Amino acid sequence: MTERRALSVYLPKLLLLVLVFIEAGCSTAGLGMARANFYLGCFDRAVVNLESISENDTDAVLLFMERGMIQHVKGDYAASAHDWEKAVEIVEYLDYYSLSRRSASIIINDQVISFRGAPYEIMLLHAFSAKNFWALEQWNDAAVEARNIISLFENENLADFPLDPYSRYVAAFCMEMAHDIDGALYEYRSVSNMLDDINIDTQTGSITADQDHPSTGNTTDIRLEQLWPSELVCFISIGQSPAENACACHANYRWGSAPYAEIYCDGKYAGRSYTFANTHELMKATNEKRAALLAAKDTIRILIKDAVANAVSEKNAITGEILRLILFSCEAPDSRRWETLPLYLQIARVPCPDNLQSYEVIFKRKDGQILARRKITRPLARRDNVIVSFCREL
Amino acid sequence: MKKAVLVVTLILVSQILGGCFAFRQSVKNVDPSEAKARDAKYDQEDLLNLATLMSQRILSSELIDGSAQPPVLVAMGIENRTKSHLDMTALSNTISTRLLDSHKIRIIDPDVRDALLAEQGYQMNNCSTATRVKMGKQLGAQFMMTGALAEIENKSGRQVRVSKKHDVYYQLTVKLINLETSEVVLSEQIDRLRTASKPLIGW
Repeated sequence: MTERRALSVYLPKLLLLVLVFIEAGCSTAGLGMARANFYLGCFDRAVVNLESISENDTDAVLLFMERGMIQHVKGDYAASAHDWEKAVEIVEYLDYYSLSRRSASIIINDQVISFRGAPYEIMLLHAFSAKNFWALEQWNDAAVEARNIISLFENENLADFPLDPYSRYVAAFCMEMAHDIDGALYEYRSVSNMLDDINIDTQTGSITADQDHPSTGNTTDIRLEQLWPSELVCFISIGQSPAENACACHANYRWGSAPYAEIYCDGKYAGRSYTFANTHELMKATNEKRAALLAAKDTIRILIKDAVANAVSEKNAITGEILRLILFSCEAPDSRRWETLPLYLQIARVPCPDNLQSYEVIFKRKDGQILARRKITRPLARRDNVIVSFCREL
Repeated sequence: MKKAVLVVTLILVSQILGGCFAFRQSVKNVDPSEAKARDAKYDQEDLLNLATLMSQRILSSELIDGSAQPPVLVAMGIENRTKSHLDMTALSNTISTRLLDSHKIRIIDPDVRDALLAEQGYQMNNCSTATRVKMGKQLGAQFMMTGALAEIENKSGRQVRVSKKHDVYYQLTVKLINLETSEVVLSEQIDRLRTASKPLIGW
C-alpha cells in the first residue's frame, strides 16, 4: 500500500478518533466554569453553567453532584435535593460492568467510563442530602438518607475504603431528629469509636474536646446549658476539596492545618466546632486503596496502545506514528472528583437561646487568628428544643 | 427467478417495517394492577396491593361492625422507614379511600384542618347566614390511624457471579389507637418480599 493510499484509508478513522476526544472534553468545559463561578461566589452563574445535564453523559453523576452543591450553598435546598437524588439514582443504575465503556477505556483512558463517585463521595452525597431535608424540615426524608449512609457502612464491598465519621454523625443525628432513639444511640456509639480526639456522648450526641488530645485539648468551652435550654447543632464546612491534579494546600492555604469555628449567640460565646472529616484525607486514602488496581490497568492499556500503533506502523510508518501520538496524547489519569465539596467537615453542638433568630460564626486558624465572620440567619430548622443549621465558608 | 426476487423483496420490506415499528415511540394505557415489576423496589403494584390488603384487614376487624354510626378515625399518615424517598401520603390516601368506599368508617384528615378553619372564618365574616356553615359541628375522632413502612434490603455479597441478586422486604404496620384511652386497639402487618436478579455485565 502506498503511503498516500494508506493515509486516505486511515485519516478519516484518525479524525473520528480526534473528534471523540474533543467531544469527551466538551462536557467538562461547563463544569470548569461552574466550579470557578462557585468559588467566586457567583452561584446563579454557576447554576447556569450546568443548566442542562444529560443523564446519558459519562459525567452525569459528577455534574449532578456539583450542581447540587451549588444549589445547596446558594440556599435552594429543594433543587439541590432533587439533583442529588438524581445522582444517587444514576449511580444505582450504573451498578454493572459496561462492556462498551470498559473496552473503550482500554484504548483511550479511564475517563470514558461513567463516573460513579468514590465511596466517600457517595457517603457525603447522602450526608449533604440529609442537610437539605433538615433545612426543609422534612425529618423523615433526612432519616431516609441516614439509612443509606448506614447501609454504605455495612456494605462489605466498601469495607476497605476509608471511614467517614462526619457522615456517620449526620446519620446518628438524622435518627435522633426522626425520634428513632435506639438507632441514634447505636450510631453515636459508632461515631464515638471512630474518633480519638473528640468525645461524643452516646446518649445525647453532645460533642466535647478530648482534653488529653493535642489537637483539641486547649479549648475553653463555657457551658451555658443553665442559661439556654435549647441546643444549636451546626454543621460547618470550611475550604475547598482539592481540585483535579492539585494538592489541597494551594486553595486552602489561608486555613492552615486545623481551622475551627466559634459560635456566638446573642453576642455570647456558645462553643466551637470540631473536625470530623477532611476530604483531602479521604481522597488520599481512597486513592491508596485503588492504586494497585489502577497501576495494573494503566500498564495493560499502555501495552495495548503500543501494540496497536506498532501493528499500523508495520503497514505505514507515518500513519502508525500519528496513531501512536494520538493514543498516547489521550493517556490521562481519571482524576474526576466532586470538587465543590468542602475540605474540612466540622460539627458544633452548643447551647443556644430558645428564640434563636440568628447566630454568628467566627472562623479561626489553629493559632486563634480570625479569618472570617458570618452572621447566619438561615437555615434554622427547629425540632423540639434542637435547632439545626449549617454554613459554608469557601 | 423473478418470483424468488419478489419473495426476498417482500421479506426484506416486512423486516424493515417491523424494525421501524420497534423503533417507533408507542404509548398505551395499562391497568396499574397489571403492570409488571421492573425491580425489587417499592412500586405502584405495592402501593395498590398494600393499601387494598390493609384496608381489608382493618374492615374485617371487630371494631368495624357496620353499625349505623360508623366510627370516626383520624388518619395521621404513615412513617417512611425505608431507604427510598417514597410518597407515603399516596399510601395513606389509598388506604383511606378504600376504607371510605366501604361506608363503614368515617375519616378526618388533619392536614386540611388549618385550611378548614380559615375557610370557616372567611364564611363567618363574608357569607350570608343562610349559606354559611355552622361552627362547632366538626366530628371528634374515636381512633387515630398511624403506621410505618419498614424496609430490609439484602444484596448478594462478594463472589464470582454473572448476576446480582437483590431481595427487598417491606413490612407495613398500621395501628388504630383509641384516643380516649391511648390503647392500641388494632395492629395489622403486611409483609412483602420481592427478589430481583440483575446482570453484572451490560453493554
